[in-house]
Amino acid sequence: MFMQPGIIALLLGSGITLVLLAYASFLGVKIWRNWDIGSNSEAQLALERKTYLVSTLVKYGLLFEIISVFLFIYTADDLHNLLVGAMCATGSLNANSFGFPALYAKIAVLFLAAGWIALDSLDSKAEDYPLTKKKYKLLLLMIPFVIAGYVLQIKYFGGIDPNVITSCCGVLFSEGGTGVGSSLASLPVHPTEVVFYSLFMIIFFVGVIALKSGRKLFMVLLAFLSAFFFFVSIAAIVSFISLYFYQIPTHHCPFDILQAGYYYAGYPLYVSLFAGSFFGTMAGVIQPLGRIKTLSAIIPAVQRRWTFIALAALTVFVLITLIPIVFSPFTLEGY
Amino acid sequence: MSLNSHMNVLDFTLLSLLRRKFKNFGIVLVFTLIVFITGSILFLSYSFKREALLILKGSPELIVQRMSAGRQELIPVDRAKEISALPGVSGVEPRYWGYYYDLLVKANYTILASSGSLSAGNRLLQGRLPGPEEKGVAAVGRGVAKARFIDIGSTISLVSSAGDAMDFDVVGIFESDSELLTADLIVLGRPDVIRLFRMPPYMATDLAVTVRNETEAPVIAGKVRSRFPDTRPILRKEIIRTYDAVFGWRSGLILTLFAGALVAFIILAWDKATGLSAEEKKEIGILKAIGWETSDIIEMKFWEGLVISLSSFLLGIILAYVHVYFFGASVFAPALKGWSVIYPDFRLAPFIDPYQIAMLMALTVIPYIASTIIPSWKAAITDPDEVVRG
Amino acid sequence: MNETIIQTNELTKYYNKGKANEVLAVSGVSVGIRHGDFAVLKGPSGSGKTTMLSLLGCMTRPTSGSITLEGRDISHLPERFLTDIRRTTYGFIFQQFHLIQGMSVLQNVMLPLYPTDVDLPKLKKKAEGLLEGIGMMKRRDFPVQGLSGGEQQRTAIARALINDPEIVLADEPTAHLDTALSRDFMAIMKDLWEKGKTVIIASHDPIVFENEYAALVVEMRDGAVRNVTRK
Repeated sequence: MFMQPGIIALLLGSGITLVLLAYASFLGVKIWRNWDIGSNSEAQLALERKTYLVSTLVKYGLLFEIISVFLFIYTADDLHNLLVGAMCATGSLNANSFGFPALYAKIAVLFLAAGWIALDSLDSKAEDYPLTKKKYKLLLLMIPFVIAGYVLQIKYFGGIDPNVITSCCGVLFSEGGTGVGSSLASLPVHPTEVVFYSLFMIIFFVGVIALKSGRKLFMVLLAFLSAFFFFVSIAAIVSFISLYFYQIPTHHCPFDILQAGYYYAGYPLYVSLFAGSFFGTMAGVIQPLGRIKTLSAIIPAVQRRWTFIALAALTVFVLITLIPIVFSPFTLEGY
Repeated sequence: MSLNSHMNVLDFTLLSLLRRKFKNFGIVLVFTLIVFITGSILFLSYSFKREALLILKGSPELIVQRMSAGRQELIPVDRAKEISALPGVSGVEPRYWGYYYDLLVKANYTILASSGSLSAGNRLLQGRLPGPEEKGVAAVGRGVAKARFIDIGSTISLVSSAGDAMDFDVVGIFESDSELLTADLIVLGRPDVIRLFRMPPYMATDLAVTVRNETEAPVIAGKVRSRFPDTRPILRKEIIRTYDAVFGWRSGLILTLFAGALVAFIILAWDKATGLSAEEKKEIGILKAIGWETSDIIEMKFWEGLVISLSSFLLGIILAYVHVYFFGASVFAPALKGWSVIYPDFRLAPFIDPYQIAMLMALTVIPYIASTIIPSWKAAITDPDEVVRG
Repeated sequence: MNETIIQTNELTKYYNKGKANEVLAVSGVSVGIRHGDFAVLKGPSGSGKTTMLSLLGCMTRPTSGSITLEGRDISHLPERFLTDIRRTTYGFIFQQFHLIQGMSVLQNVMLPLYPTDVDLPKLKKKAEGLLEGIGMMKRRDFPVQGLSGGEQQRTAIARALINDPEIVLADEPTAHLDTALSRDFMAIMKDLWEKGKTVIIASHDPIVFENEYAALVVEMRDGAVRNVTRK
């Protein structure tokens, strides 16, 4: 299965990401073990300069990982032609038990890398780099996910049996052809709609209060809600948002909206969702860091900015989901 | 650090690149070439895949073969009647075809009996096809014609299974040497195929079944199989899958071979990035001394890589696009032998999507940018103090 | 305006410490420079005055000892923050001018503030103002490699002033100039000093240290302070 150009590109691209991040954490360990901010030795200066390399490596790693996630989805989508019963990328990913875990691992790396970069930028704002040791430990935490993503995708592609007709044995027709894709749990439409939109209202409300008051409690609440909202949104996309975009009451694929036929609506949709839930969560995650003396002055301003970005992005996300619901004649009444 | 500072650094990077336009010319050239080649391979294979799918759209939804001891056997023609009686079946046509080993040129041909569905809409043909019942005439693929040095009007001689020579007047040539579709093909009239292979009467190679509704095809296949347990029905969808795999595999193979060139390119990029000129090194030192921070220099280097790679990328893609869709991939035709189903009057339908862009990015931009990270960082950590000390 | 702006305490700087080519460039220097001082670091080449200037100018960190800038200890700051300080507080004029070849006079002057949040058109106006004040406006769009030595230095001065520095540092500024140009340079420095800037110059040129407004002369030899005179 490895001879498909998409798979070659993916293995190369994500392989490079893997190397970058592995090297970054290797350097991270070195820095973390020898770090002494109080020292003016040349060794410490060299370590300080290495921190720039680590940050750069992770930033590029994130950038490449984004491309690699899309490439993974595209490749899975392209493979559905090769697989019996697969109607779209969902079906392809379900072709064996490694597809979705590989995607989850990649998405986890996206969030972890982005989170790390956020911490890194925060750290570099304080003169004593107070988070250095913490952040390099976190970097090590990310590596298992990166490796898992890579190994799982190899296992996934390796495990795909493309059902090709060979001269010795023809494959028998696809019995029934029941879409494997439909096995992805789809929630009942109406309750999901209600939960999704009311949760957004709550988040918006909490976010505005957090912005106005800057109170700890609301920041932390916002973090939990944003993280929760991410999962609810994915469920909502599968359950009803995709249906409105496709205007087919049975097509629950969360990936097809990335295609030209749907005006690439998936890109702004997912970008705003990822950005919104990421910044919303991060705004609360950094709350405990406010106790660090050198960061205490910086944190509140950063939190406000991130909260603002989160609210803006999530609002855009929800508006995009509303477009087909409001403007198309398609209705899910009765489903 | 907000937007302004990034734009300013980008501004400076562009100024710097312009100052050194000849220095970067080499890397842009090689990069463009790499993208051009990779892009052409991908565009070509994806367009072929689409073309092949289009051609397959005209083929029957279901083919019924008879199996015996795990091998394909001839199928009695009278089964066609029974199958056509199945609900949903709109027509059954027996097909007569087989492989022929030509001792003379040591090659395998595919011999196929002419039929109504074959002649319809075959735009690849020069001359004409033999009629279904016509005797003594043949249409051959370009590959066969080349191997046997024949043209329209010549004769081609084949030895039948009984051992006697049969001569055919060549009345048509498939214009291309496409391996997948027509290169090794010889089309004869049905009686000639039967005689050549000494097929027993009332037997055909397989049955082509057309159905009214393609989604019904699996059901019909099931019925055929339960009625005739010794048959193997093959769905068109399965053939499409096979083609898909073959095309993907082919371009993948070529890409792999091409990986060597890619590696050479990465080494070049690394080398170019590492081998900063003394002048450039000094400049970075000055920038740091006058107040640029390490991360500003890294950012500048990032912009530099991005500008170089994206402009080469765009240029390469445009060239590949023009090459494949306007010039029929003429530069590559020899390199991709067996693929050139492209005719002077045959334009591939332009087809480009984010998938291909992402693939190309992963194959070219990512390795390039990655190979510049460490050299850029090394340049960026230049000690500002060095400039002062001279 | 007589309080201390920079105070060093037992400032020591090794290069390549612990290696075979270890150099002790500055050893145990304690000096105080006041707001509005015109200070000269005097001494032969190799006396450590350039390293001292580097340390005072936040170009490098001391191996030991401390530097305080307006009461803030900056001797342990990471490079990122030292750069920030340089960007906001210092203007540096190098011995070799160190202009970027192939760029115009105006671009060279604007360069230090590129990676800050300044708006380019505004920065350009400011740079033009500085060039005007220093009589270089007519050379605005000249590539710097075509300039004479004096003009190059004027460009370098304008560049050092683009961030409105409180402290102007110059390393052997007259080394490549003839006497007339050296006096011109000193006139510009004096002008800056009169406008309230703190000026620190490392030089062994009498034109620099033998003038009436050089209030503080620090004489260095072999990395240590030999003599401090304050007029």
